[in-house]
Amino acid sequence: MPTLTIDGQEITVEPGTTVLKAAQQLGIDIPHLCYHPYLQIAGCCRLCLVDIEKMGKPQISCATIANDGMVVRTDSEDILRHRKNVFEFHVKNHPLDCPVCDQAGECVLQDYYMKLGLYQSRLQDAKLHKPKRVDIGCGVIRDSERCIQCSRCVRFCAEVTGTHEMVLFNRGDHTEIGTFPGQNLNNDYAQCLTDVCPVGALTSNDFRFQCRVWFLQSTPSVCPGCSTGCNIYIHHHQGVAYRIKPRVNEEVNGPWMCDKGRSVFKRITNENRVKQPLSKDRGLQEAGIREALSGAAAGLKKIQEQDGPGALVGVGSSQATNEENFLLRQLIKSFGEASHLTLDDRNCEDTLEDGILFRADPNPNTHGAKEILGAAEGWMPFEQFLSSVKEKKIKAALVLDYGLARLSEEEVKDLSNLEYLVVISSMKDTISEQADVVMPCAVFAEVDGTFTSFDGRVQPLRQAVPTSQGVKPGWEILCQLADVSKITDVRYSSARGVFDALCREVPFFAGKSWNSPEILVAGPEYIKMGGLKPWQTWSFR
Amino acid sequence: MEFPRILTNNIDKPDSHRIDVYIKAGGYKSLEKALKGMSRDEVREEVKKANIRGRGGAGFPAGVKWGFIPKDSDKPTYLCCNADEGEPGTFKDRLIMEKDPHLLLEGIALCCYAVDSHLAYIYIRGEFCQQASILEEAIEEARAKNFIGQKILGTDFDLDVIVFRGAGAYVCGEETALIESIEGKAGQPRLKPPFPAIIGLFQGPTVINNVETLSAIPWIIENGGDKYAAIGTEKSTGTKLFSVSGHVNNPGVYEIPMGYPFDKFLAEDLGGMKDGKQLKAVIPGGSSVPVMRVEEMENVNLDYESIADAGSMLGSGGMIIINEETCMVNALRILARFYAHESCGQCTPCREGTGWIAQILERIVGGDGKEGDLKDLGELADGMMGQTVCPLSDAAAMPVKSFLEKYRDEFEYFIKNKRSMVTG
Amino acid sequence: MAAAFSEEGKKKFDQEMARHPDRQAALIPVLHLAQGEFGFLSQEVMEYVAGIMEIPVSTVYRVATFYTMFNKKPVGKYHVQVCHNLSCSLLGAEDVLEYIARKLNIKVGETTTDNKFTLSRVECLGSCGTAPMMQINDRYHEDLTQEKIDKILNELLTRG
Repeated sequence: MPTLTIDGQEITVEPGTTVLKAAQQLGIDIPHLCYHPYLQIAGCCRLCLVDIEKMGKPQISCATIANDGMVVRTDSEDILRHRKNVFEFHVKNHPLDCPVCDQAGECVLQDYYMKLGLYQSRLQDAKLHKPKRVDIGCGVIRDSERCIQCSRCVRFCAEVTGTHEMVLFNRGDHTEIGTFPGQNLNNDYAQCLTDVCPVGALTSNDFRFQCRVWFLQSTPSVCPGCSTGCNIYIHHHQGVAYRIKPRVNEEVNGPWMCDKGRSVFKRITNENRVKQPLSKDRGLQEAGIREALSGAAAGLKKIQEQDGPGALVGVGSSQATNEENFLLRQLIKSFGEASHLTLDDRNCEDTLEDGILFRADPNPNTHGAKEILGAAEGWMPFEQFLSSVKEKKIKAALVLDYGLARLSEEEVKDLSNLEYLVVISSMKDTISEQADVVMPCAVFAEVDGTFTSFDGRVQPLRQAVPTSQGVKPGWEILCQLADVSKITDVRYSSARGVFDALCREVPFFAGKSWNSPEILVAGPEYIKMGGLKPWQTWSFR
Repeated sequence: MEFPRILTNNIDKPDSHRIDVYIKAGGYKSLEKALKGMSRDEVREEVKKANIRGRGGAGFPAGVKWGFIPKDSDKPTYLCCNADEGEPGTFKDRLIMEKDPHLLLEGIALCCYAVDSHLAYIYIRGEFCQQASILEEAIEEARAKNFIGQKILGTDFDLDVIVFRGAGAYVCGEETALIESIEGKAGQPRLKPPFPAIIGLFQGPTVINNVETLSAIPWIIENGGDKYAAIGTEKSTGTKLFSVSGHVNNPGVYEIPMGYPFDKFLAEDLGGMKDGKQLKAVIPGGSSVPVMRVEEMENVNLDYESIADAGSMLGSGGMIIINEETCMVNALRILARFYAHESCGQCTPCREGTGWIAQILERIVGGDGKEGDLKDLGELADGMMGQTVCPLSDAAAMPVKSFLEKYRDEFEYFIKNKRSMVTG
Repeated sequence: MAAAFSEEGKKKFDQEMARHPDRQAALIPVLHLAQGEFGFLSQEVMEYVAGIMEIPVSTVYRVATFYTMFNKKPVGKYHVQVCHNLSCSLLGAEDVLEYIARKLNIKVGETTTDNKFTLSRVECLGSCGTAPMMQINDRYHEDLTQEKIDKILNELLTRG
């Protein structure tokens, strides 16, 4: 293993490590623009120059392999001068329109501009003009004037998606990035381009001009879009979620996530959200929380007394958290040993759909829900549940959010056979229309909890934004329902408490705990990979 | 000064491009000698002894370059003959390709034998359509006589040669840009290491040599490396082609031994200055090298070391002679425009620097020069030196620095008076 | 009408594709071939080339826009390209350009209304010893004088 000295500090690194990475291990950030840790080396921005003893001229640290005995300087007077020179060329044709650029605050170029102290341009001539605000598809907007030709986007489309849409065309300072005329971006990861672009050349149409990034707060979570469980950050401000960014997890998603996943935050403001409890007693109109809960408790109790607990079923959900599924199990089982639990786990194969990240199972927690419900006494396979409803053997059901979202039209009709249906739901749909009571629940960004990905990885969600009044996280609704039903052993004050109980009772979760390192995989903030975390380094306030 | 004509022996003969003429003059004898009587090592050894330095401009010894080729590679080895002659002032390779293509082909065959390569590309600039056709015909002639093809001259050596036309990009004269271009990509130089001798064309070990370099190989094999090394100076061996343009009476391509005195060259071979005007400046080795004032060229010999000692470079041997009536501000503007046009755009200092410098010079020549312009030009040129993947950035910066240093008065005059000091 | 090579062109295309150790190495030769057949590399032609070579169209676009010999816009039947680099400029390249522009009654960079001539200024063509010079289509015309230019252009004018 080579040992080298960087700015007077010695470090031993794995063979093949670049000087830039070795420096990062020492906490020395060498400015760079084209280098991206998950893409091949381009070596074209020339900003990461360092002095290496016995080498005639400055070397780019991103492409220089650390050798034993190397003596590197990243801060010599020479290097600082070179860096300043190179930087000046970077901003020669760059508009420096930061005040009106939506990248401001998370722009690597802007940060370096401030750091390298170049406040006065000596440019006497006109900057080159290139196309601006071009929609290149998949919600990505291109501004060629701001582009610094780092080629990260080109490499992304070549190396990660293999779709090759992005291309550098023309030559010299007329070089531009773009797609072939008339052909737009066409891949499910195009929004990653807005992450890899270190400047404001590629920005997201969804996010543009919605919120200045320095106002954003960032909460780690997990994408609910499929069973992969990509690690994410939810970016929000004053209770409003503005966007989702991937959070680096080497073992799951690296620094990427798909566009479908990125758009899930729109669920929060979906116009079909259930905002208040609904009760059939009022013709499926809004009811008070207490009233709705008492109604639901009474309805279930009635069936239990009339037909025995065997006529009751709890329908879990692979969209709901482990905690919610666990509480459903506890609650249903407290009605009596003969009660049933089921889960719609049809067509939930673990196959990787696109060879990158997206899996065929569109649910984030199939694995966890199965472990929790399938291991319980009274487990009822889903087909059996459907036939039991048809045969009226099952009379009442308590359903978690999205628990019956994939029923066919025919199967939905059969639900009318149920005498009593309580639905915990975030959205109005054909199921909630049939319900006797609908309890509005929170969606992923509004809850604490955990999901279990396809490969059994238990990952944490943290509440990023508050719920509106009347809407509660699923686990809280279940606790309240238990309370109203006078069930005393389903009483928790936090999702964490539920999780701890879950770990004690469900073998699969044994040994895990809310704060175990395995759970808190908080990868680095993934913003432009420039090594900077804008809202930590910037303070405009 | 007596010296053998190594590169231009045939060019004055009628139909010199035909194989019969070439064979009659003793052509392809060296190939036969090498294939039938010399090992690969022996061929390489002769070239090493000859100490011939790359004629494309960089001056790296060819024998040493061949020595970098690994002998145990699991990928095929390739030869790329660099015929992408594009440096302003340089038109020497064109002469060989037009007039004596078989000399080049024999050199290629010898090199391929020496490095155990079975496929050679001649990367010729796209505009040289005629020369490409001549080469293709010559290859067919050579194939018909089994100097190229399978089991050459009854030995086990196979060789195919492909003429590959570029499409208009000066930067493809850089070795790795040339490789990229053959591979069907934009001609953007690669990061080094790995060097092409290890990972080059199609990922195989690759030798890249200039047309002129390869064309000297047949003579070296025929007469021995020592004999070649005896020509010229100790460190600059052999003869060199100089392509001379500008204000002289007899522009053209000349073969002279290294170390030939410039004064004699200008007065005798080139027939002196055109129209009896005074010499003002010389760009001795292609547009990228520092310009020389007339007094700096006095008593300078034409070899790598002497020109370097005098403050410039031999480069490709593309010599531009400039007379007293030339505005040096405008001359630099023309060169700057060229480099801005030819920068591949990969490295930021080159992409932006070449364009910026050209913009400033256009503005000065347009009569809108500003006080800080000369300082900016100098600093920008400094900022472009030694910072990029390939030497194009340096090539663009060097003329700027030397023009500014040596003809500063003209630049200052232009900015102050908004007109040329020379042409008004 | 969709772009497609002639039979002769298709034959050359197949040869080129078979010739190199790597398929993509045929790209520049194929683009030369395409420009020869179609006059310039329109988007349609680039898509056609990408299709038959089975490579991404962005790769074709990249290469077609990088190299200056590939025309992305139509040019006249005779593409007059005058070198304006240093050696040619020392010997009157700007005069040559001006003379031809006047003679053809177009500006540099323009095409005559009958689509016969396009006049361009280009960088060094490696013909510095015979400056000033120009290239018309594949041919070099060197040591230019007004008389010589007249002769060349008049011949092309009468040739149609």
